[in-house]
Amino acid sequence: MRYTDQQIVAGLLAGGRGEHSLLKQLYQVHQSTVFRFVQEQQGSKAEAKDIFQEGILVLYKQVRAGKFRGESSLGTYLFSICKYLWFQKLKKESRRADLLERQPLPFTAQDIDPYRKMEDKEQRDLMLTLFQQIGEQCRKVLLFALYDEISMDEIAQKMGFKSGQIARNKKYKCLKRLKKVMNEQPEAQALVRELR
Amino acid sequence: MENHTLDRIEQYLKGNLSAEEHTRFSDEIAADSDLKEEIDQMQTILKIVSANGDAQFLAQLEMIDRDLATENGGLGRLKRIRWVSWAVAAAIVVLLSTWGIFQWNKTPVTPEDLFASHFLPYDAPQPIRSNSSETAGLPVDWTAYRAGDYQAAADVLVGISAEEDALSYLADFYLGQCYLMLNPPQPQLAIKAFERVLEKDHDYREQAEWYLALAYLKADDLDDSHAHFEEIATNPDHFYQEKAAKILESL
Repeated sequence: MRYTDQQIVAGLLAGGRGEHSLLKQLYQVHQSTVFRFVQEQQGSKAEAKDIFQEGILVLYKQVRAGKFRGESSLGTYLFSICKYLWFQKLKKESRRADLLERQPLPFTAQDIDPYRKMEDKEQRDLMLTLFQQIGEQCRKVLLFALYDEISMDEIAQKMGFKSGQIARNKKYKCLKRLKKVMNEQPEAQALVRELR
Repeated sequence: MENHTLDRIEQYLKGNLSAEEHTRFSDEIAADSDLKEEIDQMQTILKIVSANGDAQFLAQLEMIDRDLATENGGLGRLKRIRWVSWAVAAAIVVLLSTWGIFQWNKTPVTPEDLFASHFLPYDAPQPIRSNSSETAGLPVDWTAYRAGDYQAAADVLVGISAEEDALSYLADFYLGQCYLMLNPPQPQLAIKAFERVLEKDHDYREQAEWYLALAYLKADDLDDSHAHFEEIATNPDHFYQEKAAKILESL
């Protein structure tokens, strides 16, 4: 079955990251266009893969934030994001700065940049390590509630809780657990200060 | 901290409060240093969750990439088999004409066929980003694994698996892959390795569940294989849900 753009957008809004088949279609259909573009621009296959995957992440967040309004097709929009990310990478590495300025965008750069991956590896690793310490169930609850922003009733359904209220209580407990983990570790306190 | 205050903080940081509520809450924050501290902590929590969500999303895309590569690899293998074995295929056609296409269609697929069409060894950890040499964190030289020398790779991984290391689940995961690729394969050892992966707390659960079900298939243990595929197929959020459902149709 081939999904339409509208179905993909609706699915990402409803099911978040769990919509594997929608993401798989996006990946399968648009991969070659982006790979060809990056490789024609002297990029490696690995760079093309990074740009493409990061582009889908940005697209996902744009859709979730209601910023994709269907004025172009999903494929065109995704390609524009990947082009922007690629030109930004070239500029950062001082390979070509002019391409970024000449690139017309169907979005503002401010829309995209907050989603960019954190460049500071130490900070990122610490964030992953702290989160790992709160247990699998808490990780899932907080990701559903704060990252995917799905309703408490849906979280209850996905996690097998009896009600949305139980999911809500679990979310508060998990927030407290994460705070406890952060408070017990001096590196985490430093992270809090750095991220202010 | 009251739960409703936590909710207000979250909505404030996400910009979901009305202009009036936002101003009122900003005034409260300015007058209350404890509340300011809570805001800072929640801001960090949101960033931690966002970093982890992004990491999981990218890991999911990586799984899709591998999944597509597996499917294309399977197709490629099929094409190679078809090319090399055209004479055998022709003989099969003659045989089919004798037995009738209807009878042939009813021939069940063997567990070995199913395993072969769904299993490709998981790639060795790649550098996390193309401009870095950092991999998933195991201090392992992956050369043997990448070269297909699964016995040598298993010899290294078995030592790490025995250590009380937070990343030993990864050693077990790849050890399971090696056991399935050895000649002759060791599916019982692979089953134990994947079960050890599932005993630990990490984000490789879905991959381990899938490969455990495949290992049971390889071991010709259809009851356990069926049970594990069913568990995956009935979880709509599972990455391998559709594939498991397809295998169950054949089983």
